[in-house]
Amino acid sequence: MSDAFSNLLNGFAAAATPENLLFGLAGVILGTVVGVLPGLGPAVAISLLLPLTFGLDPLAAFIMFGGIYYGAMYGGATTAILVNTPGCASSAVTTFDGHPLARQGRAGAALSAAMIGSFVGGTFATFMLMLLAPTLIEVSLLFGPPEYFGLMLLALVLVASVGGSSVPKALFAMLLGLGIATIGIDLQTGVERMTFGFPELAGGVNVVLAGIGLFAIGEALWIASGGGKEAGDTLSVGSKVWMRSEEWVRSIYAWLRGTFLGFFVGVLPGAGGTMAALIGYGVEKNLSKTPEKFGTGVVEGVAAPEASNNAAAGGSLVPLLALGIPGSATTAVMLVAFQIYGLQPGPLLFEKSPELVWGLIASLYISNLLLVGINLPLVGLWAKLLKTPQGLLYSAVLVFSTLGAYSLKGSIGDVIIVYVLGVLAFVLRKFQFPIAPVLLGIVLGPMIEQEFRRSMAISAGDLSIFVSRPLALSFLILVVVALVVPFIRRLKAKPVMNPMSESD
Amino acid sequence: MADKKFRWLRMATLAAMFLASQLGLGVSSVHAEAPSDKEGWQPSKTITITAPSNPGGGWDTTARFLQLAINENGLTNESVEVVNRGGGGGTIGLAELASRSEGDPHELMITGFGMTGSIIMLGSTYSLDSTTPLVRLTDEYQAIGVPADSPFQTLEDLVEAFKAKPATFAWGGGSAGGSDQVFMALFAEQLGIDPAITNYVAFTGGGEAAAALLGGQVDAGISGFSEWGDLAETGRVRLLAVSAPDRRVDPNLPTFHDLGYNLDFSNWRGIVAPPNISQGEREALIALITRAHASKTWQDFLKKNGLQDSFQTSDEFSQFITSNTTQTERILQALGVGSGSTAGPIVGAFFFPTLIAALLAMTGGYLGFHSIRKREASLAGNEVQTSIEEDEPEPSIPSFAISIALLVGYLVAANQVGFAIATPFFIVAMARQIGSRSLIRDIIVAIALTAAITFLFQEFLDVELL
Repeated sequence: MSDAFSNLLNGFAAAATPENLLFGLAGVILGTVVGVLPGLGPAVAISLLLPLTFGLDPLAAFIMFGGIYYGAMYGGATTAILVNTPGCASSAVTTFDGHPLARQGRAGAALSAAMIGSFVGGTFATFMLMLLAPTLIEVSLLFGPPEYFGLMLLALVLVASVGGSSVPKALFAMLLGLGIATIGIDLQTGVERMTFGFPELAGGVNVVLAGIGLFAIGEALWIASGGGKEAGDTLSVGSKVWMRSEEWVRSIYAWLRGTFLGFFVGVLPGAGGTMAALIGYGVEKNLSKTPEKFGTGVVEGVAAPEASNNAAAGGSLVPLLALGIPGSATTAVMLVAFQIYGLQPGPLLFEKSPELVWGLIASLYISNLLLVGINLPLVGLWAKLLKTPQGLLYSAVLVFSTLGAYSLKGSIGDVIIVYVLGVLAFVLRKFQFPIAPVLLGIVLGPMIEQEFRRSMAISAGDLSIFVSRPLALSFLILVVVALVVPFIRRLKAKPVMNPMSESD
Repeated sequence: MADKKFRWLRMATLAAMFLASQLGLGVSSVHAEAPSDKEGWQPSKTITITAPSNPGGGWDTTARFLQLAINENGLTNESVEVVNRGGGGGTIGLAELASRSEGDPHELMITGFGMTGSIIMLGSTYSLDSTTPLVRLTDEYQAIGVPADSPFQTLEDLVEAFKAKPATFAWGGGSAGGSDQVFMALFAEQLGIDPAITNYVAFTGGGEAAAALLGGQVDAGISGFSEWGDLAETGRVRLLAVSAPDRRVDPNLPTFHDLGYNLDFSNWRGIVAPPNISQGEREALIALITRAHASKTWQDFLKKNGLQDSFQTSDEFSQFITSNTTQTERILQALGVGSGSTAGPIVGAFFFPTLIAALLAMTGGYLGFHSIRKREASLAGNEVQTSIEEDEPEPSIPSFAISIALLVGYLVAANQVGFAIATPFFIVAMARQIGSRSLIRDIIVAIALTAAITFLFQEFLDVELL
């Protein structure tokens, strides 16, 4: 362990040169910008920079890439909270409670919870990456398709009822999301499904489009059709920018739990930041004394997913550095970058180029410090964005959403998809269906389906694969517990509720 | 376009690189080679290379390094840019090239083995016959790997187990119909096993497939040779054979030929132009790419990515595409993947959609029944509590219709008259719709915002806005 620290010190020495700090700063700023703009994410930014960094010192390039990765995570939260527009996929969960808080005039509190959560998540994840990488990687390899299936199902159950009081309605919304998720070319068979002959649908409806359509366009359409809560021209910014002291206490636990969960989910190849944020949120909600308040604007609902998705970014570097296996879109691009420099990530990298690995790890600490240093003072300024008259604010949201969807592939088809999803969100909201479960279905649907089918292929059609493997079985038991506990809670609460719910 | 948008990112990087070089960092400069001598045809505008995938994959990387090799070495008088047209396994990009860019030598596209597969599986209207093949650029060989603790020490051990239970032996690799599965099928055929009964588990990417292999979830894995990398070097994965014609990639690793199989396979990539360009244009483009191929930039890219140089031009390349397509067509049919096939894995493609539809119908039915009962109850005079939040005004249907009309109108107008003209009108109209009554202020803000976006996107990001 002392070895790790002396290595880290060397890493800091390599990373903290003025030139490298400059690249780090450029990275975090670029990352924040691509994070804020809907549609653009860190994977795209890094891949487009690749040919340019060709002639660069590898450490400088990776310091910049690390900065972009974390920076995008910080930036994505800002627009999610302020205008219900997740800037990147993994901050979609932040809208669940972040935007309600902003509408209550508490944007500052939500932004602070997100920024500090990102910092805690990013920093602790880097710390765990440094100490636990070799051990964790062996644990993550125990996860096969049946275990993933159990984990995804658990995530679905934990978050399913978000933002809605009626269980059947939340279930209906979730099923809609699961249905939308089956659109496109099937991975296992190459068959086109549910595309109704539109080639534009062959690629499926991804999380980025779903986030823009369901949240940003849905919200703007709602306001534009007279559904706004505020009678006045602008939203209130609120006088109290900072979090209240009891919110600090609740957030600290949320940050730590979110970090821990997010990091472990991030280590699992293929799970990713959005998944981590969902699980962080779901666990926080289920541990809360007031789970029914989640989705209406509680700081823990922002703190947990933001800590989770940043910790997942750190976690996803574990399989990349320890095995050379990319666990997310962004690390897949980073793998290409390693190869371009003639470096092969994996256990040998620590031996062959220790200064690069430890320099990269040190630079991740530096990126996080830079980001929180840049973003936290800006919280007040960002919150003032809400002083923009509503009419102009939401017109601008529509313009940026349109551009964001278009910029993904340069296709009008994607713009039409987000408009249709926006209308769907409006209609659901009109009939008091919650929107969040639709997104949940779109995120988890493909993974649940594919892992189930992979499991069945591996076991040659034997369903017992889900109960004969201890880890998979434990997840399924947790699923049952998560389904039963709220039911028991409700039964217990019945005597108190009875007089009020008589008319039901 | 997605690429052009990032001009500012590139500018920022270049600025950082410049500063770094001023500070004495070892930023290597690329030496320019002599620009082209006399050619029959010269580009008269920017050359676009389409990567028919999202950023990050093999096609995208190939496109970007080809762009780099041409631009940095000053091989043409016009610049080269890369655009991404992801979707449909490359067939979306192909359709655009074949239908919209006909006869335009400034529009090029990267293609490869994966596209021939997608064309067949998705029943695409266009095929590579609808393009003008220019140059085949790279090859990547497939290798079979097993985890370190696997009982299979040699390919023969594996073959024995595969033959013993061909329908349950689990292979892991990339998506259905891709190079990994097609190679597995070709191998099965060599062993006299019907590809249709094999058990192939598709993963989203090579990384996930490798993780599943290491965890012992599947019996054997298939991936590009270079993708195994460190896992093979450290012995976590044991490679059993590689699909190269000889021992060029690793002298210690037997090829399938060495082991007595008549099996050659490569995941190739190349570049094509739209249909109906003139012979002179085709020759000039081939000459351009040949020079890019010779550059140090390109050769370094090949070396660093573990790619084989499979340089092949014009008719030779066309013939290769034809024979490759025939082989792929046959094997995909044997595998039974793609639209219209009946064979399939244990849980078929339509199991989940059907299940979800049934559950949706049930939940929908329940909700419908519930709301009718509520209505009846309220008609009967009973008080029914609704869950509408009292302080939230309900949106009205007419204003929803107006909002939708504005949005659709905006999209159509932006498409017709351009973003810069459509946007200020849209912002002012939408702001008014949302309840703003300060017309003058809105007009000023709308124009300023549009100007800012247009300036940002066109000057810095260089995007054609819609």
